[in-house]
Amino acid sequence: MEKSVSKPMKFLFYFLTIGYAGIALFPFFWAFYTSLRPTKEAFKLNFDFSGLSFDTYINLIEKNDILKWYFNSIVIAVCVTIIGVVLSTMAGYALARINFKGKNIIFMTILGIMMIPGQITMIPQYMLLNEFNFVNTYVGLIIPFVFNAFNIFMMRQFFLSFPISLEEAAEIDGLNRFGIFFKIALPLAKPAVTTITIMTFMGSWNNFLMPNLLITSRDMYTLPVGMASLNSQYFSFPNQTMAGAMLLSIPMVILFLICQRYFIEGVTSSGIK
Amino acid sequence: MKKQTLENIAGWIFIAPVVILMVVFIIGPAIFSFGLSFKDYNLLKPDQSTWVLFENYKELISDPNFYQALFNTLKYSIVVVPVQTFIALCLATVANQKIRGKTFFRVAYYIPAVTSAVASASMFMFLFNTNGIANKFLGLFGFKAVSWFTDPTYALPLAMIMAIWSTVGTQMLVFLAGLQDIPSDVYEAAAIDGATGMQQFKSITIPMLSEKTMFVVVVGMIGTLQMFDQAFIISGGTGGPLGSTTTVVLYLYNKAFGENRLGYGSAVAVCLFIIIFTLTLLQKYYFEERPKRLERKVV
Amino acid sequence: MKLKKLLSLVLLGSMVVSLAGCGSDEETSGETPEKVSITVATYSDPFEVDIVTGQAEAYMAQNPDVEIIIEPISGDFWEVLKTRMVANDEPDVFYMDIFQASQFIDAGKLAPLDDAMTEEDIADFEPSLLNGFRGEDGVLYGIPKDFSTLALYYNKAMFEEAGLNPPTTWDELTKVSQALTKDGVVGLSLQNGIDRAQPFFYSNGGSMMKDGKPTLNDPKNIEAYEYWIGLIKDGYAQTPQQLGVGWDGDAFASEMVAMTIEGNWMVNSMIELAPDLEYGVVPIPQKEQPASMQFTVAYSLSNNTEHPDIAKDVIKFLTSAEQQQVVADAGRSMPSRNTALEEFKAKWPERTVFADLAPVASEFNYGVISSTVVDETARAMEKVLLDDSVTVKQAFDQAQANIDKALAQQ
Repeated sequence: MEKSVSKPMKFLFYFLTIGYAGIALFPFFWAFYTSLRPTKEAFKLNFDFSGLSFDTYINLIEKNDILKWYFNSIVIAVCVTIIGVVLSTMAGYALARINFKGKNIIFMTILGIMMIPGQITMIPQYMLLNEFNFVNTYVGLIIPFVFNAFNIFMMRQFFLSFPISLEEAAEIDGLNRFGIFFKIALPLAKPAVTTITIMTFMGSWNNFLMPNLLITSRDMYTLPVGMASLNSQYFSFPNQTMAGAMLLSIPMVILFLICQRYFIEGVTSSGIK
Repeated sequence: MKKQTLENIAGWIFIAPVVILMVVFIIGPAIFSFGLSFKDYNLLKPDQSTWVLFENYKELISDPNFYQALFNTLKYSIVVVPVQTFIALCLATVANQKIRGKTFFRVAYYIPAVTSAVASASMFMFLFNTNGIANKFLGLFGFKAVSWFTDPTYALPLAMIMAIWSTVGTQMLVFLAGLQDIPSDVYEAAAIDGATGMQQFKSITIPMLSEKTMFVVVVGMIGTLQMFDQAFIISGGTGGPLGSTTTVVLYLYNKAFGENRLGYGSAVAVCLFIIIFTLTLLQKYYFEERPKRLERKVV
Repeated sequence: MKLKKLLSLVLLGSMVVSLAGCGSDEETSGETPEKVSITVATYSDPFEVDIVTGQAEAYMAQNPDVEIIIEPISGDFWEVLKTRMVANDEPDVFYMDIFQASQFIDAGKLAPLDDAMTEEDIADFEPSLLNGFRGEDGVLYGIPKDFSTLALYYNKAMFEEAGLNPPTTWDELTKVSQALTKDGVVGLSLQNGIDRAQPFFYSNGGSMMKDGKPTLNDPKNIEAYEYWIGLIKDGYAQTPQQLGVGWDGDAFASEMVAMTIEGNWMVNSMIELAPDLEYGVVPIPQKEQPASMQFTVAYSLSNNTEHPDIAKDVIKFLTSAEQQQVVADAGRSMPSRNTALEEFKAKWPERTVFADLAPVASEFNYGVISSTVVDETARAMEKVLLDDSVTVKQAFDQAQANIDKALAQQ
């Protein structure tokens, strides 16, 4: 690419990439900055760097059982992610690669499920989970959320573009479907698996609507539900809200930093052959 | 055993856990909601509900507020989906380059996806305030200051900007993972043949990402047609100013939970479902069926 | 082989999880059998939850055979409560906002509480606080725990500098707002909604409810709103949105405005937002009669509870004169009993205005379709504000038609 790019083009490239990075990062910094301001300054929409401190965080952590909320959120998100990624990957592979009876109808159903607004199925879902005695339990906050139509759909799309010649070769070598999946397909799908791992974790981490219905006691709060409990119209102040937002997003940033190393540009096809 | 039988067994073993979960936790409640759409079902008086067949649907198709909500939603989707797909693709390409500070760019581009809606809403208040930076910036180009939150002309565009900004990061991830599947020697070969960066992008990158593009477009469309959060934040739940940010799901939510008309709300959901389903089928045809037929013709 | 490993891992994982689930289940429901559990749903902010938790502990100390479980509800309280009602899984006792009460009463979701109150008790409550929780037949379905009212806040320094006194009538309000609108300061911040404008309607002799039906387009209301919107259109008043802030409190605290109309909750906000700002609070300026409006929260009893008598006893305890002292001492909302209100006034003298307005405060309650009325009114008011070609009468008539339609659908 380099040799055919002219200097002005290069400049434009850097201008746009850095410019967009600024647009993307600014809100995060704004939130962080606001969270450090004293309350009587925090609602003002200006820049003033005097009097910044971590008092808001100390106050939030001292007055609320935030560590417990973290614990709950992490337990739930880790379980949902492990089970969810395994199931979605298997299902995605089957939908893309295995010619089994009923495949099309299952795929269309999964597509269809994404189109149902969650706000309307919330009530029957709650009725059902209540019947299962899932209310206010970890299992109730994990099992129903393991199924994720988006992830299955995504894995299907990835396995679709996976070179079929490899599987044919493996079949000749005497591998069955399971062997092909675990020995050939899965190792090659690392970038895709990394992506759904991040997405599943994030989905579970931020999930609010159903958990808010299912959690009835303070000791079961997940981080978003706990944070929402602190928001009431007149008694939430921007610095506290923003400190809450930072506490909520920092673990996701760390997870992303760890995972992004698996996106290595330019895998050579020689490795596949 | 025959090969097809083996394939059937393998397929079902792979898919069974997902199907079970899906049937129990999603399909059941969905069918329940579908049934409710033919009922006059008051959330607080479920035992007094009656079958009204198509009454809810009849009322729905004669309600101008529904059409306004539908129109807003479609407008929103038509703008947001192409723009966010394009930006996400560009960002993924950048984040996949061998450039200095690659990790920095990846994290920077992804961060909006993890910034909570409350935090980004507050930041947008700051930026798009009448006296805010956005207006000052636009003023440099001779635009008049506008009141983004209270002017019906600008509230929906503001919601669009918020949505694009916050979803692009996740979609970039999908493209980024997709780019890993393209073997680098394909580019090398093209470069030897004298293809420029732009040509390589057009004739290698885009076609080889088509499955992922379909995912991003379909998911983007479904997400935008179910838009709720941004509208709720900008209007405080009312869909204002003057109904300009009323979306179908916000309309549904206010009917089902504000007016307790769960049956009517379900009918709205069914209509929205039909619209999205039709559009998705069209896209599936465009991305999957049409290329196959074209291929056959070529062969 | 790998598959087997993986499958067993998943199985193991889900088993551990379900065990953990069972564990926590037992913790909550597996108490000693003879103990009766009463669930009480509250708003979720910690300030509120801590008060109720303290009260519940006091009750449990006196009644060792009862366990009160507090269930704070985050997010949209009403969405959660309604959903749990559909699943027949609602708490035994829950908060009930005056704004929401009618629909629950109408649907028969609440149990009568008349026998939890003696004549003496009833006399201790301002009648207007109780009325919002009565059914059409006069049966009481909620016992108020606290309330708030609206008044006019003014910036003392700005008034002194201009040599003005706080306004008491509409004419004075216009003049004062006009005089104070200068040097980048706007006279008055007005949140353009029924929950701030209503006192003007009543002060003008209008009303929002007649014979159990919303009456938004009452000519007196229209006249009052013409006055209100005139202040904004003339530039003497602005909405918080126009000022680019979140709510009246931000505008007042940052001295963008000289006055605003808000509730007693803003006193606490001001301590945090602008501790050094000197301000005063007076009744809302009047036309024909003094007026304010009240926001009341009560305890209601589910009609579905397994232990109605014990739950009723809990409500009785929570709203007793003794427990009302706790509310008075906390100083956020005002206690609903007059005896406790006297204590409140003594302890928080600067908030006396709000307490004294209780008798003239109209209810924030428009029957079974309260939320539709608020939404429709908000839409109408927005239309008048943004579109100069729409008159108040046109907008209110249109909203009234929509309200009537929604009422017919119930």
